[in-house]
Amino acid sequence: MQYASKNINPVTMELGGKSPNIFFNSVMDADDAFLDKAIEGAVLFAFNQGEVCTCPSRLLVQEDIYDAFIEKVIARTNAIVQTNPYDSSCMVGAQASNDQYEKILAYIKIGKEEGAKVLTGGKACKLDGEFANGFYIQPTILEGHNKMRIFQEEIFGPVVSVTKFKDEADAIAIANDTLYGLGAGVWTRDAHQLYQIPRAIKAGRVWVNCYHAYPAHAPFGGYKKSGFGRENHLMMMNHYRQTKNMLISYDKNKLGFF
Amino acid sequence: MEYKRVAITDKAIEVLNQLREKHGELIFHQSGGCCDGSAPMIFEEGDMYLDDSDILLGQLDGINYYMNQDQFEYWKHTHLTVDITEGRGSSFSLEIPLGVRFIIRSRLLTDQENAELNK
Repeated sequence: MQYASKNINPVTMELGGKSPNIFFNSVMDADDAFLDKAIEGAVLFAFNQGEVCTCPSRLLVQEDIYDAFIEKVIARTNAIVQTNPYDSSCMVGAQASNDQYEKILAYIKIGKEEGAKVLTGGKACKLDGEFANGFYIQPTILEGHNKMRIFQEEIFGPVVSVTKFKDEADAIAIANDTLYGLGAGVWTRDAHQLYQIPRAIKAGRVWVNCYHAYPAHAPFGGYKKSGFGRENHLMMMNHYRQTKNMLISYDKNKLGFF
Repeated sequence: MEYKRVAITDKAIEVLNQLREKHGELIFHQSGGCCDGSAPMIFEEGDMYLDDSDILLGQLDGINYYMNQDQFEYWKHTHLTVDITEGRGSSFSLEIPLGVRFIIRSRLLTDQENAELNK
């Protein structure tokens, strides 16, 4: 960007995020397909092989359903199979590189030092045979508070940081207490929350009752340190076009001044 | 006693020396979000424009270590050690072609360090 500015080249930027995935108490109003979907949505953090800008890496759960909800999230996370990536039962493979592997383990360590509690995972995953040296990390849930570094920095691994919130205002405050604003998830059965909460979250894309959907025409980009400009949608054409204004005089006569 | 926010391992200094020989004066800048995530990046001095939103955390073997002010607010209670690990990263940091990668190992500042450094 600094070199683009030198030549006045226009740019758009899409950078990182620390996207909140927010679960309101109404998701547990019934034990039905929607709850099942919500639990799956919470566990989508585990799909991260070393770089997912929009990873739902902060899990925010309303306090009155916290224990019951997290119990289900942990159970679902523990059911993730890590094995030979050619095996069709494999759900989560290895990290893309050794440095990523090391970095994730370093983050889990600082998270624990800061007082985060490991709810599940928290270690490398050791496989046998030819995968013994693979860069596998166990899907990990860390419980803490939003000021911890594990809540503020991209870890880029199958690691989620979870905390609870009281009410709508609290959820919005925690969600927006970040340098970034790329993605966010809101899960609720309440039609008012479904419209109002996403509007209050400073993020370029807010998924409601879903996550990680990327239709080709939907504008994509971030607030704050997640960048500027949007891509994919028709509006992004304006980033690449010039707007030309022509002023043509039809009048043969002079202005009349001199 | 003088307290420091940043340190570096001997193995990482070896790589620094290699890079210095090739590129001359260097700086570290702690990357925040995106692509390579929270990794220390090393550049030729002058390659990256610094301004008053960049905080100087300290020097590592004579090389300045910077971080953006906003990010510093969330990091300032931790001590950082730059280490080196095998594996080729994907950023523009100068060590990448060597097939190694600088990484950060963190610990909490002790109460004493915290009192001194964040007063």
